[in-house]
Amino acid sequence: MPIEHIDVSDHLRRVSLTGRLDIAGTEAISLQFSALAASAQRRMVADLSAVDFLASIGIRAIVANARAMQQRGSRMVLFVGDNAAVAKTLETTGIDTVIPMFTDLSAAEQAALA
Amino acid sequence: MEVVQQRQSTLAIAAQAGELRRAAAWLQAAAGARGVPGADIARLDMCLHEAVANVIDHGGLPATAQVQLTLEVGEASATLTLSDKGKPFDPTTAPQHTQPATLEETLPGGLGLVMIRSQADTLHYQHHDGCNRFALTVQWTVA
Repeated sequence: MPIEHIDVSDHLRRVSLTGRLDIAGTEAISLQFSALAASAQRRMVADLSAVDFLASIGIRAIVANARAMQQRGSRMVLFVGDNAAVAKTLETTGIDTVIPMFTDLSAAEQAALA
Repeated sequence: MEVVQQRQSTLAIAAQAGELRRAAAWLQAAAGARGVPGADIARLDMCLHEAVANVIDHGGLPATAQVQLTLEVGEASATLTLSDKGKPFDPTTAPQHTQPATLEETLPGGLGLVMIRSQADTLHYQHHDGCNRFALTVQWTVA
């Protein structure tokens, strides 16, 4: 599955995206990603460590859901692990300055809950 | 792997999103067979996706219109050229996307051009006889 999730606790959800987040890949996960971001109780770590390809449409989906969570008083952070290509794309576009990005999972989880 | 001697490969796709994965598969195969390093194929892959998406979104073309893709591989460079008959648009002079300061003010548009400019080493655009020709080149060091 290109999108899976684990409810780490009553307050935290980790959503793992995999594969190509191109137009087809983003359309395939879009509804489920939005539904998972709509939790009233849980903040989110979006795990992008296994994303092979992050296109602008994939970034827009992440930003839209992060913004919706922020407007509800919740929070999304990004976990990229050692995925240098995805980290570079997020840095180049400046997204890492508006959605916190982490290479360490426990640091990401702490930041989501802070 | 056997390296294909012919330097050029072409593919015609329809101007619709459903063609993007076919184009990506062609690029992977054509560039790989001509000895383009994997990291540089990845850069071209990103450029191809974002450039074709721009043509589809902003070119004003019917979905049946063609976008011609050409890959030309040299000793230490590869150039991907898109040709289409959409509205004239020069990606090399379009305004730079403003880096967002807050999530609220992060705009949805313009990211594709940022990504193309960060991945390609040189860009060249020409509008001639009603046709946009956008060439993106990546270069690498030969050991």
